[in-house]
Amino acid sequence: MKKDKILLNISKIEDLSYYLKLGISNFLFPLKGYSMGYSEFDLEEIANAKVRCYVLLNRLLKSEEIDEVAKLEFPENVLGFIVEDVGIYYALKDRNYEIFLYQNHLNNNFRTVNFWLKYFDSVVLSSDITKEEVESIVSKASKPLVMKVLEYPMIMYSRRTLVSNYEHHYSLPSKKELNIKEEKANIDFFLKENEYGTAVFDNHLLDLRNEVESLNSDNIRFYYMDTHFLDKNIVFRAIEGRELDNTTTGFFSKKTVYRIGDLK
Amino acid sequence: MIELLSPAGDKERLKFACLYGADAIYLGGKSFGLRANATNFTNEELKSSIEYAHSIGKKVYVTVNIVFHDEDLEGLKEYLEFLSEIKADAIIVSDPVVIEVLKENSIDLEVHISTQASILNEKAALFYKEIGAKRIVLAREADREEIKRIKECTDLDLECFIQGAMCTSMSGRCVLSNYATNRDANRGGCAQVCRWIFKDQDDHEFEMMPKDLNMIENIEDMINIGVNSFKIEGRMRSIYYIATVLHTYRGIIDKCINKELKKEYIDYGLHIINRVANRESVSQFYKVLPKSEEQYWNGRTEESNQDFLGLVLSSTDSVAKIEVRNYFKVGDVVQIFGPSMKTIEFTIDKITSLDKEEISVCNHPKDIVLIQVPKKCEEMSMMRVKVFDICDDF
Repeated sequence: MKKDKILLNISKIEDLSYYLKLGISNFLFPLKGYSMGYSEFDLEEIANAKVRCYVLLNRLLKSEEIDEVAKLEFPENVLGFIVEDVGIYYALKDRNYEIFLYQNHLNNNFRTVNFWLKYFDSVVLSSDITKEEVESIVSKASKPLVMKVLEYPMIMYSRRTLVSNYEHHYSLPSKKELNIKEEKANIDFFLKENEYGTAVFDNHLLDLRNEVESLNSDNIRFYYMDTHFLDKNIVFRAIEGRELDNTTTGFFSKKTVYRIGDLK
Repeated sequence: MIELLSPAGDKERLKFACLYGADAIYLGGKSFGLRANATNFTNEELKSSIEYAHSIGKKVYVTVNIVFHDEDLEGLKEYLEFLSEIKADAIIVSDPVVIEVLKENSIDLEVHISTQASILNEKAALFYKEIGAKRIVLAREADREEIKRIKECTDLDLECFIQGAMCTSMSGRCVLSNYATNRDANRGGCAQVCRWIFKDQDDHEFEMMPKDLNMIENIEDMINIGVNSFKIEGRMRSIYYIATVLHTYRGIIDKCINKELKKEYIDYGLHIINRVANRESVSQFYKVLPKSEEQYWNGRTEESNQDFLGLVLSSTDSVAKIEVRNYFKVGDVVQIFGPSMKTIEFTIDKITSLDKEEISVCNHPKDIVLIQVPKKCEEMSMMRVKVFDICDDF
């Protein structure tokens, strides 16, 4: 995996110089007020970072928030956006930026991906699908795609403040973050909340770096790596192509079912 | 156009929904719908159900609302052609690939965008309008001001959920089920993991289960801001639940339209709905962001009741033939409500078998008995335990 194709979702500004030294040149900053689940950065922080970057807006927005986005003046180092809400397309489409569609969990077949590529410059492929499905989509996509290769997957996005509600109900101190488990089903999730809702993450590190080697890299725009919740040393090992401990390939090698009778 | 929209998990539920005041029904075929483990409708049943509904002036919308994987695309075109042939009034869609297939093959079907697309703003609604949607089923998180603005700016038909279970997540943005059980939430296999009880790192119980939605208090306002279709959740609910909920909302909507709505009707409706649902319900996101009080804690406290006593199969002015559903006896105070009859209340004075033998207790479901009634009851009306006094005009 060439380093110039890695897109790094940044959790700490102070780590930027380290990643630059490692040869990373594409960065993603979650935008304060318009993203969730991650560290957030305002436009001044993004400008001061002085690196070519994309901006993540992974919330579903209200109409007045779309209006606000349309009026924002973005720093010169911003190349484009990765967005969850289709409505943002109208706010940004005439402003000469690249716009990638995120839509977590929804881009699961080649025809849907190609539909969105008529409007967007790229699409972030779902990480809930099998290797065969990924190969099919990448080979048939009309534009290069963004492929997630390293992250703790965000597996639910709620508008509700689930951690605060829980803390309020049991009169617990406010933390905005919480680990939860269900032992019988061997479930281990963690929750991260901001004023716009709650993101739930799987507590197993998804690592698809080796799995995507066989894909046609010409049709991969970026290999997406998320640095949130990861030690800098682990990110270093990931960028350098070294093995990581305790990772999973998730649904890449495990197909989901939807009729109870199909469960094995 | 104001429409009361009911779920139907099978043909029996569809018939009761039509009888009890639904203007339109939504249901799923055997494929491509988000209730993969419900009974659902075979193609033959879809055809006959649509014919039946149309014969009495009702519409039928068919769910084609899974998030498609490559393997699911097989047979989609043929299924859509079939739905067009049998004159489905619309399909409910979340994945735009369905719209692509319709257009490519010039298949004539009205498209409603599913709540799975989680549309929360005017621009997203406009996007779907431009690609061919006639109606948007708004995200359940859309509040009053947002609904109003979307209506004013798009002039799309707007459909809003008014009753039933809520997702904890923004619809479509949840794969808890996939990760916990390998059952694909966005292809109809949701295991409702958000209803489970978890433990936090300190071994406290953690829950995230929202209370049910109930919009009775807001129906008039929703009509005034332009909502067209009022949708009830629950394709797998019982005929008694469907009949009671539809009967209540039909009454409220008609009173709004006729400018006759009074607070006593709303209070009565709230009592009736909360009783039939066996659990508390609230208006969720419409006016304020739901907090701790809008969640269930310590599990969803459902107190099962046996309120549904029997189904009226036929009736004269003084005797009704009843199919027994739950225990009742001579001396019980009961109520009978029906699609268009005024609800009546009386004490059961006499029960006889079909052989004219007097009996004092009915405790075998599906038995057929005769009971004395104060007036003729409608066929398919329902006898229930008296819990609340009848509200006049309901």
